[in-house]
Amino acid sequence: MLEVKKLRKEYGGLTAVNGVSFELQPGDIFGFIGSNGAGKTTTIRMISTLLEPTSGTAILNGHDVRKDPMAIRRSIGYMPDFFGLYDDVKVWEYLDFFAALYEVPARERNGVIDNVLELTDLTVKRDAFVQSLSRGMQQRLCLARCLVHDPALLLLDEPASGLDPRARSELKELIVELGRMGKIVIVSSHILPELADFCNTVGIIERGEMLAFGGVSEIVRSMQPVRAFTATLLRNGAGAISTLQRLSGVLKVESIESDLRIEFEGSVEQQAEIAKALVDGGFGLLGLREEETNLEDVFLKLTTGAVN
Amino acid sequence: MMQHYRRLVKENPMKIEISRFQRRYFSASAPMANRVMVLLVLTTYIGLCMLVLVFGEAVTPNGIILIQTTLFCAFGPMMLHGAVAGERERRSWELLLVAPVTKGQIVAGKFIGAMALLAAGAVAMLVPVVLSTFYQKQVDVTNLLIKEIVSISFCMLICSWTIFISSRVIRPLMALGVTLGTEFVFLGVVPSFAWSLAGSDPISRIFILYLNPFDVLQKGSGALEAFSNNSDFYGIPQSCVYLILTILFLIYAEKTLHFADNDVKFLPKRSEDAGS
Repeated sequence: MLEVKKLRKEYGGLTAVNGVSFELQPGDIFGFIGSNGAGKTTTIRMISTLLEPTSGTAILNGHDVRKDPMAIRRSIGYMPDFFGLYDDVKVWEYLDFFAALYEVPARERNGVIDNVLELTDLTVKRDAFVQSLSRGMQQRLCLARCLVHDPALLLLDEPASGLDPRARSELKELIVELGRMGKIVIVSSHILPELADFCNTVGIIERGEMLAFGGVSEIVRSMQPVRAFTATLLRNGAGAISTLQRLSGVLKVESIESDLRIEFEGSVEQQAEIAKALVDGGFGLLGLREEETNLEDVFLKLTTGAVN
Repeated sequence: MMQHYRRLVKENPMKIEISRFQRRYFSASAPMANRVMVLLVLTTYIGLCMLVLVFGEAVTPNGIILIQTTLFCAFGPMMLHGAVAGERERRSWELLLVAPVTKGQIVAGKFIGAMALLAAGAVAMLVPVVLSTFYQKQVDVTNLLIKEIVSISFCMLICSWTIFISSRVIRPLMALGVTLGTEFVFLGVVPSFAWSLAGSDPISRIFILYLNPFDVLQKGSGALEAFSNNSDFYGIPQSCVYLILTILFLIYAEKTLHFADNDVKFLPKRSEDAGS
């Protein structure tokens, strides 16, 4: 379990991260969202022990980043927003070096390397030089490096930046698989629709402060108390509009071409009444669907784009 | 003391640097520039052995140790100039910092890696040294041994100096330039000035030239014999000074690793650059 408690980082008079707190369980894939300069990377760097927090702390499986950084380092895999690869070595040599650095016993290293290469679909590139790999493959190699010591927490800073759609899709599948393996994965990214696809938890940060934290739908719902539905009717007309306007929870009904757009704020029981009223009124209900508010809408609504 | 030895040497995972050095210079996957360098060293080495065999008495063990020291003074910085600066340049430095190793272990690992190559080189150079002793009428083995120790300890000093410089800059080429530049100043320019400034006072010269091992290494070949005959100051005591300086530079290298490090590098210049 990862507990981040009131993390704060100051650079001189500037507060880059201000009291960020959250908690993640094994298997959680956490999308860390924020504009450039919002404090995502600084937070990730503090959790990875690269930066010492000014105050607050992060605790991973009982180990405190401030008191026991070595134990934290053994339990994390950190992938920064750049590759940091040694170009003049082969793929297996690169992984072997990091496996040794993470104290993987020499007799186990070959097996570990084979496993992570298989997981990241790089087995065929085992003997290729790192510099000969495509950008997507290099990104997967970085992820493989993060996995050689089987860490409990993966910190992935902008892992999809610069990747083509196919490579992004492959990376997404890989991250989902890692979540299934019980690892805590923290992913910072700007590509919000993708994060919404595979993250079960997201946090939105701006000017160093966490503005929202929770499940994607939970955040969307909390940000959007008024929900909108579109009803497609066989016989659209004023009757349908007046019928709906009489229902409790319905705030506004408007006709858009052959459909009705209904703005609603209420319970699920009240929501069920909408469909019932349209069926009972004989308007020929063909479909009723909720308009989705996506993470990007919520992000834009919550944030102003300002930085410290 | 034993605890430091265990942490920094015996159980240091950064000892993997030894095999990295091997791969970088001697494996089939070594970069072309490194292969050329190894080829040059091998050619020089074979040439030296041939010289000893062909010219016999004309090639003294002293001369070979001088060549060895010169080679090590050049190749030490070439091997180590990127020890820290290179990691910074290719941005792999952070990956080392988040690994379960201390900065001391990183520095020690880099140094141990270079020392392994240096040791291999020193052993290889023993062949022409031993060969040349067969052609000499009188060989002072103790004296030769002391010179080997002076040569190797000085090379260790050069290596630690290179790591120290490398830990203070971001560009490896800058580290190489500074290291070779300071070598040139301290081994070339300073002794030249010292000869003219110190006049005939041998004590002044001894102290001024103390850090220049070529003085004591030439003893026996005649050139500086007049000022090198104070054996109380040279030889083993000199090696001890080199070793102490080696340790000091390594300690300071570790202490200054934060220079140009992330805390500083990512410190925003303007407030709007803050954060990530």
